[in-house]
Amino acid sequence: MNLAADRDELLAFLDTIRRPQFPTDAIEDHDSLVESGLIDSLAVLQIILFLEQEFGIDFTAAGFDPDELASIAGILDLIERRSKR
Amino acid sequence: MRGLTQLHEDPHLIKWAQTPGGKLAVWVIAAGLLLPSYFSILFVLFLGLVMIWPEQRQTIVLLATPLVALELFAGPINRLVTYPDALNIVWTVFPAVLTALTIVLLCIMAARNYEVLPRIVQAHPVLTLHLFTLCAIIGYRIAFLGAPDSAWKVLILGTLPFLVWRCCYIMLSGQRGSAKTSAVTDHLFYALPVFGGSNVPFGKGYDYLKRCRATDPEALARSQLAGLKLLTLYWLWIAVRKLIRAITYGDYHGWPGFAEAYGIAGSVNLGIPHLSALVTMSNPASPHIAYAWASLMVALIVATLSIAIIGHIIIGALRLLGFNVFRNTYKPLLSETIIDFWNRFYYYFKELLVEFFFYPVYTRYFRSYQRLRIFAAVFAAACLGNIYYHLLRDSWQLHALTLEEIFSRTGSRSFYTVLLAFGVFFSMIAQSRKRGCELAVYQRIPEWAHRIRRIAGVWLFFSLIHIWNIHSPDANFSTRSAFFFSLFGIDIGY
Repeated sequence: MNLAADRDELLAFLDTIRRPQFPTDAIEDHDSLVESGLIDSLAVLQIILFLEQEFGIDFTAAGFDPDELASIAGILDLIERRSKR
Repeated sequence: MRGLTQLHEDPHLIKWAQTPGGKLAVWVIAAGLLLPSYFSILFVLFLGLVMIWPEQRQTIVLLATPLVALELFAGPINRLVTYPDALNIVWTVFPAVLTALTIVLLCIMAARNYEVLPRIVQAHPVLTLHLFTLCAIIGYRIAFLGAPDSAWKVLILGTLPFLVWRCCYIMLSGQRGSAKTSAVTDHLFYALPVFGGSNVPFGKGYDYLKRCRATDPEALARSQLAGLKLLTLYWLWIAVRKLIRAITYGDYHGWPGFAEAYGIAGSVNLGIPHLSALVTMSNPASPHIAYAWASLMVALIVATLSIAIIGHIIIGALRLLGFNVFRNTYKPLLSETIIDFWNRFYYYFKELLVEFFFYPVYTRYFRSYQRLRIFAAVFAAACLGNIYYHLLRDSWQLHALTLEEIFSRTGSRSFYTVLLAFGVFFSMIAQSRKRGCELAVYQRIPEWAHRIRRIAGVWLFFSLIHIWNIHSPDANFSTRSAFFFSLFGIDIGY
């Protein structure tokens, strides 16, 4: 597993769902994606879909805390722990 | 104006609030704002100890918990049971509190040792707790229907609906693995909340509270100042609600004596009827249609203020204890989408529905069909979860009724939840369509006009569906629907 490659893939995805006026490179890894204005709270559903499809993460077994998806760092941590790729 | 509303974020004020004089001032102001509300002197004294020894606040809160637990259960107990004599109070209250404490402790132990639980419980912790609760309620109905009130009634119908959602949060932290390293007191804090609350767990559970917990003096001061702001808003919104009720309905109940003495009370009155009265009329043609619409809008504003008032005092108290959590109500009347209003109106209830109904359905079912997946999850939360929560909350009233009687009592609200779910679903779809779209460079109509149109649309939707939600014991589904059609000049002849 390559953290840098995962990060690039995640940023490329966030670029497709972000609000137009907020560039992805304007936020730090630990900033809240929703509170910074990059995405709205519903975009979390699209992040779930992305993680299921691209990283094979199954949220049914261990459940999940929506706040784990609140920042780039949180999502990368989740990918590292639960990715089946 | 912005400087005034963001005063609690002022660095100089935050620094001052960390000094002994600042702490004393925060405590005195908090006491002044809390004591005239329903908070007791006990909470204010424990808050004083938190101000003196902030690093020991976990222990202080633990000491407060059993005492406040008695207060906490006093409400449901008084509502549920008529005592023939004082001795029965002892035999009713103490077993209920002790059993509640035992249930909570068992849940905490289960969450901390999650891997030893049976597989089925590990996979469905929330469902297991609710099955247990439902079995207890149905068992109570079978065993005690028609019997005199007993401790069982307090325990099962008064305590379980209060505890079960909090226990669900305990089990969720077990499932997520975070409970393993937590202390028992971390969970007791929100399971038996000294900061008050309803059946809805304000502040959610351990995982969220841990993230919001102030870990240094500056964060604690910031949290406490934010708490004072909410307590101030609590009183401000009470005053605004009284003023609106007085001017629109002519309801001067609770106004100070001088208002009557100087003839202020009743002098200004628009004579708008209460929505709760209008929805009871089988032929609501009597009030002018403009009054009916005005009544609808005023009801939405009053309902929003009422929710804000309840939430601000609880979240304000929680922030004073050093947990800088989201407020329960945040400017919902400025929302531009239905989903945004739902999120801002009653945040912790929405979170309950999302965490225990939306996400479990969203992550399990229809994974290949994105729209169907969202639709199912929204209906599970906004409709089914919503109905279930209220059935459980009202089980103390409903347990003795037949299924038909329960349906007739809850039918209107169920219809409201269906409308809400459709509204939330379409709002989510519309928002996901817009996501990623570039803003138009040139617009003929200014943005502020678009904004007002969107806000008006949200007001219209929520005020209309409120017709089937507003509390009115004499109204039924037909009279509420008749009122709805009368707003458009249609007499359905009911």
